[in-house]
Amino acid sequence: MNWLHTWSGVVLGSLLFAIFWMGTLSVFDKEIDRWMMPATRLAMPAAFSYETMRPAYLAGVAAKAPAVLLLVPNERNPVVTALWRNADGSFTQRLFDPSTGAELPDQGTLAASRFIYPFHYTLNLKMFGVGYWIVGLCGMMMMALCVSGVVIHRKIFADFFTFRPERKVGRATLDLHNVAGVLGLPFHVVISLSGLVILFAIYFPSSIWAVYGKDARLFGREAYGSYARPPAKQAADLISFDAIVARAKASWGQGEPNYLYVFNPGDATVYVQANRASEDVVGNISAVAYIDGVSGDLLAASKPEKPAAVVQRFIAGLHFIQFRHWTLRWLYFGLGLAGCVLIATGLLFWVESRRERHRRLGRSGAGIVEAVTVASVTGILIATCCYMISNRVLPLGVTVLGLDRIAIEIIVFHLAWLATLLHAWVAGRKAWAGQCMVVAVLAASAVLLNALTTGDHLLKAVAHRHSWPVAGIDAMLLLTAVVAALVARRLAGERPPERAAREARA
Amino acid sequence: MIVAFALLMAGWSLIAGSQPKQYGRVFHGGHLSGPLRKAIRGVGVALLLAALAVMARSDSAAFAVLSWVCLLSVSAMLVALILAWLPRWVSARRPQADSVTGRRQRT
Repeated sequence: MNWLHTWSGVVLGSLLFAIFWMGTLSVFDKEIDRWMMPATRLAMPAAFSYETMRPAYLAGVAAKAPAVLLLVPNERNPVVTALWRNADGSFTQRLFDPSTGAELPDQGTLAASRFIYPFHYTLNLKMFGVGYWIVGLCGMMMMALCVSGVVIHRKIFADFFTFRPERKVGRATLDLHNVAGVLGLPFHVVISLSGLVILFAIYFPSSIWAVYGKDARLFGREAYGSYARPPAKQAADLISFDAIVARAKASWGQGEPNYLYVFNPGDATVYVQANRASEDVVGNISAVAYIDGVSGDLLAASKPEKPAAVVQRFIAGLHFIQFRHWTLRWLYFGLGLAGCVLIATGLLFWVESRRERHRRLGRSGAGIVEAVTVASVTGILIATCCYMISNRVLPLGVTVLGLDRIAIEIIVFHLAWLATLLHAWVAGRKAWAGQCMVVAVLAASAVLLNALTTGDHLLKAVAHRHSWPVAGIDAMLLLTAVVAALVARRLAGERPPERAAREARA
Repeated sequence: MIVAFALLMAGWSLIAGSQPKQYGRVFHGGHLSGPLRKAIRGVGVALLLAALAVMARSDSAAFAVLSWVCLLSVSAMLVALILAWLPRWVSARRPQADSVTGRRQRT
């Protein structure tokens, strides 16, 4: 168990940290979206009419899209979003004001919803779905690490609250690893398990294959209910969105929709898939209604789910946190950070306990793991800050060497991350303090740049209810800057262990 | 929620205080008798459960249990962090407190 815990942690720790870090940020993905897309810092109208979504629908019709996905605006995401797939396979996203229906300028960014969030579960490696499999492997190993960690912990109850920062770095690191791991154990286990359960069709497809053969669509139709009909090639107008939503709500009872998926837009066979939002329940419920877009008749509706599906939806809902519950959102954020601390301290403990011995024996193992650990921990923080800073520095519509704004932001993120790895390799142990100071400077700069480029400084953002997401991100960036500066100062004042050992001998 | 959080902090603090290791760290080698230790631990556990009851009154069952489990972890971590620095704060204050009461002069 000790061997399993040590080596699976060392091999997959860096990837696990990246997954946990991006997952933790994804808890506030819509708030980061508001920060990175200033034109969407809007207030929701007091009485929202679904008919305000018509310009978004018409934009899809004009683009001759075969289907248009319309995301219903809400408190956290106060914009009407229209998405469709183009003939060449690419996707188009357009944003609209929820009060007037007017189109908003292209924000030229993937922000958090389309970059940070998918990074959490695919590492943005889409080819052959390899990202899903790597993240799935990490999720499974995280559960194995939790179980093996409990087994190898010799004094789990006696050391339940033991954290001794005054002890040597190695001991203090292990204490912090134990506290973050043992006290956050329910969260770490549930979040890893639920991550796997969400994508059960990818990771455990054999049961579906056994019943449905290779016809995954048939499984989807039976499990979630679906309806389809071909276009008639005759033009027709869509009835009022308010009428469509009223008919859908009549089929599933209480609750508003979170999206309206319009198939065959502009055609006489147009129909709308309305999906009930899961704002008021923990589970990620599936209540779908198909409404005829011309007559307003109910074409099909999802049936009550079977117990296995209800359990799967509940566990998935635990992970997705689509519910409206701010206390729980903040608790998830805090526990996500505890997960990051758990992984980082595990890696650090491995390095600390081997550094001196590897140096004496001329081995490079501890040095390599330390460089990778620095790049995965402080490096990904620097890359995230650089991503946010590039978003505030680059003007809308800018292109460099044929690269658009979206591509430039992503390249900045990855180049900054690579640079932190090179720096960690060259600087060795000193890289921790150096990179912490860089995090402090970058996080503070991001807040300053947001104020300069948008005028929404922290005090102004706090004063307006609809700007609280921006104020929250600014506050978190400032807190990150302060903590990183304090850590950098503490690390810079520490004597290297080999020097301390020499002084002790003298 | 604030009441539940206060109950959880108090509950974990009592459970931590009932552990000889933590009690000794804060009170410099102080000792609690076995029955007293068990009683303190029992009250601590009761406070943790009371927090669940308080949360269940203001939220639906699923949200209450989920919030309680998450808050249970976060409050326990906060107690661990407070305990990490508490012995130093207690030590730093002790001579001052002693000089105020005049105990140091008498000894």
